[in-house]
Amino acid sequence: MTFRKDRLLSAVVAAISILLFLPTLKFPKSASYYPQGILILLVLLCIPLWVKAKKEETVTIELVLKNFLTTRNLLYVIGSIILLISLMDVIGLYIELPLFVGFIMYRLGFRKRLPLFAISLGLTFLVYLLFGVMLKVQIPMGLLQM
Amino acid sequence: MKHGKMFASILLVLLVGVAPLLAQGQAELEYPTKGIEVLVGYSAGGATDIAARLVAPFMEKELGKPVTVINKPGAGGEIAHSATAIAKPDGYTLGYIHAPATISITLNRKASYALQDFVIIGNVVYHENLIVVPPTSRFKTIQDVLTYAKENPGKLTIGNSGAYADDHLASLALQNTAGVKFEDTMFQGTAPSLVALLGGHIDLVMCNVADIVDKVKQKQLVVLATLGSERNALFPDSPTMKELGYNVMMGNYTTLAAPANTPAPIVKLLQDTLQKVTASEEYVAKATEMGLPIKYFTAQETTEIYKQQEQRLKELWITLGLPTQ
Amino acid sequence: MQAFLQGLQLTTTFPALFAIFIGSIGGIIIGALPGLSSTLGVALLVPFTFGLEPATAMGLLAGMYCSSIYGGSITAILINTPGTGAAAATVLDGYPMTKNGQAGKALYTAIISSFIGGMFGTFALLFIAPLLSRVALKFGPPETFMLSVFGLTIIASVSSKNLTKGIMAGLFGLLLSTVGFDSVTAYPRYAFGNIHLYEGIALVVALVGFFSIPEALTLVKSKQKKMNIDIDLKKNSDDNRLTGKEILRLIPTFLRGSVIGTLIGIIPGVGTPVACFLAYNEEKRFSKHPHLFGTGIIEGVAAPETANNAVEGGSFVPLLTLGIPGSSQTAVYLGALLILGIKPGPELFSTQAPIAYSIILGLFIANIMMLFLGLGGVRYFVKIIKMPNAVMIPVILTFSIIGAYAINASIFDVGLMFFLGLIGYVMRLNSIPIAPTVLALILGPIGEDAFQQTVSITHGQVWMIFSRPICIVLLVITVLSVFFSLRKNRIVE
Repeated sequence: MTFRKDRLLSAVVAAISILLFLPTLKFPKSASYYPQGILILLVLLCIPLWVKAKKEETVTIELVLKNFLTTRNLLYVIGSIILLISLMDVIGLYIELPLFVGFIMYRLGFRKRLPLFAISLGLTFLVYLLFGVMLKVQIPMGLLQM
Repeated sequence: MKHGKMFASILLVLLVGVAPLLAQGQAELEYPTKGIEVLVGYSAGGATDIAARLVAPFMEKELGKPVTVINKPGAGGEIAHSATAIAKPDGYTLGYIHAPATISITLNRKASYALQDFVIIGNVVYHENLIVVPPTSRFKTIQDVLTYAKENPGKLTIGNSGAYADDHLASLALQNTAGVKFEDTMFQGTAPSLVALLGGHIDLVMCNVADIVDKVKQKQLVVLATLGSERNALFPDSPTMKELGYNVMMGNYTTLAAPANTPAPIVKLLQDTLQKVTASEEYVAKATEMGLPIKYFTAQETTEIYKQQEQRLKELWITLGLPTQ
Repeated sequence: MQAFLQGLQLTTTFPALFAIFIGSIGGIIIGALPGLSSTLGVALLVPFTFGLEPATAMGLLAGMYCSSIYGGSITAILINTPGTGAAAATVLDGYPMTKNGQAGKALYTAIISSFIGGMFGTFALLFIAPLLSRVALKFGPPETFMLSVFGLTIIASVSSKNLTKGIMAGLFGLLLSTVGFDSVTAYPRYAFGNIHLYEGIALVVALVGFFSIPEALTLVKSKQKKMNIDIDLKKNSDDNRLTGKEILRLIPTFLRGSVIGTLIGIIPGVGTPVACFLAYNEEKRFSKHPHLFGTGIIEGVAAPETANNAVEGGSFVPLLTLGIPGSSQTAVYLGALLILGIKPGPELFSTQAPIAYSIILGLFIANIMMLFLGLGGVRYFVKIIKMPNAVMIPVILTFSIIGAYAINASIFDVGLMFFLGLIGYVMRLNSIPIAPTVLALILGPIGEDAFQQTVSITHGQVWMIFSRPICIVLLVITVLSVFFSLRKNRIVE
């Protein structure tokens, strides 16, 4: 099924806005007016968006999925980030970072071995200096917990 | 000789048998063997953080192991309180709690901890709430304020540092006890409320000692009354509400605590250490230099204070019908 | 006068000047790195001020403050990722200029504008601080509310072509700003039971999420090896520098931006991002070719960059005269001042005048230092573009992740940042502008809090605010602003 791009957008935004309206019913009165007003305006704006949707820009569900899935690199990057965040407490950032940086560099085509290691480790060390030492931020240590 | 040998062996057996028992007594006091973490629920540079970082090095010197302050800001302190409450009760994780903030969170919403989850080590900082006005205000004494408020209920605007913050609660308690009605205006922190006060947009501000000491010295503000149990040495001309006949005392306590099931000997050691540290000249001198309103109360006194505060706040919550979500 | 000279002596000592130099270098780096804000930079240096002479300590912080606000523009221009909130508006024309091969020109515009703005703000601080502080006090909650309303109308002008999408983006930003405790009842809105959301979404988390992540993801998808832009700084092309003629052309821009920045600076609680968007908007409004904004013109870079540095000088006004910080950076400053035994407030200029002057002079010198470093650095900054994408992308991602984490030492924030980043990426794919969302996210809380305070002060009769002169003025400006931008939109279409 082909949709005009903006019409798909309009439908999605309207649906999400209506969904987000439900939690506001539990807010205390004075706190609820503001978000409710915003959501109502959003839904109203979906109307001109729908109407003005350009005929030329169309999408199909296949196209949307294809767009996201064909660029393997994109999936690798997004996947690595999600993995990094979920395992931050377990493995620790100082171990994750060089792996992360190295992996992404490799996947994006950087094949020179030595610079790859150097940059991965160097960047991690820089982070350690700047955040761990100077700013004294408590970086998740994970496996390195002493 | 035979008896001697027997004696010796009995003695040896006794020693070998008793020694482990003695050793067990020693092992419990084998604390600390590694660094201690102290959780603070606000970001670096804030009042609690400064107090924590003042106390830490002194504790470290006494205990012989590193004492590190860790900031875990968020949810008005709830994140740190929660982390302290569920931490392993081995004495290596401590945290700072506050009255009324730590208590009011549990009354205002479904908190992720309860007051019983903590065992108190001792109180470090205390400063009372007080009411300030600019010198140009039409109110010269607190009596003026109360009289006006009685005749014009809800007309006087009093600023605070946030909904259900200690100063907001102080204002509510005062209104409740004195039988007057103010209009509480919420700000994000004391600084914006003082700007509004100085600009003449609101009539009064309820805040803490530390917030305005400098400004009073520079004659930008006048303290109409304090909510302490006795007059504050910094503001000798400002009466307490108590002496004027209004039995309302509100202030901010910053207290060191540990997770509830921390073994008693460890808790005792920490309590004694804190007591020692806060009595030392060096500590007092440094705190005075920094302008920190230190006030030590023992663990027992503090536990009692918290119990009373909880009671009073619960009553206040019911009387005023405050939200409990 | 004597105090002024004494202050000058204190500031021109070798340690003080060296401190300014170090602070400035650090400032440019921290400003440029996405995920590190200028407030963080100033906070980072505070521990180093212990044991230093006041003038030296102040110099260190001044250097960091000035240069970090400028530094954000470097990455904003070169890789479409503002290093600090102050540079959020600089991407609008800065990055298009880079794509047009005019990165050098954009960078020179940024440094010169930052310098002029900074000097203007500091001059204002020096000469009319008392007057400005009186103006600052007149800004009560009703005025702040009207200012936020006006600020929100700017969304129209940063919405590039599609107004509907722009407004929707703005509404989305407002919605995000409601997450967390509401100011009157302390009810945690949209927290879904997660205590990490109780205090709302931190600005840096949103900034990094909405700018850095979509940029990184777009670069990944593009499969390009590096930016195919030939920037040969040895070529004597006009693309690589700012000509004298152009500087003259920018004079009205500099003036507008400086005034706006200084005024916004003196109002406590508003801050640099608001100033830069406001300046951009006003520049567009007064321009003879408003439709060129967003395609890469120097005015689009000069306006926000002048304004955000002018905010510095302005933000010191409430700090020094009232002892109340005007921005988050000056709040950190306040802590440092108190530790050094300097007591800001009305008596500062009578009891500690030389120190007060040395603080101001420190700012002057910091601005000059920033100018030299910036001008000299352009040829090196530009090399960033030459970095292969395979390296640049992980670098951006790394700093985004750490930057988001460092705010509250919270892994949740990193996840939130990434989640917002994915939304930002989807927005990009749908041609929904991101600037309105960020602007609304900043102004939303300011506006809503001010509104609630106004309701409290007027005892429910909000219309009373229109008996206040500043509110009337702001109302008129807002109405005119909306009227004119609608008219211009209709003409262009």
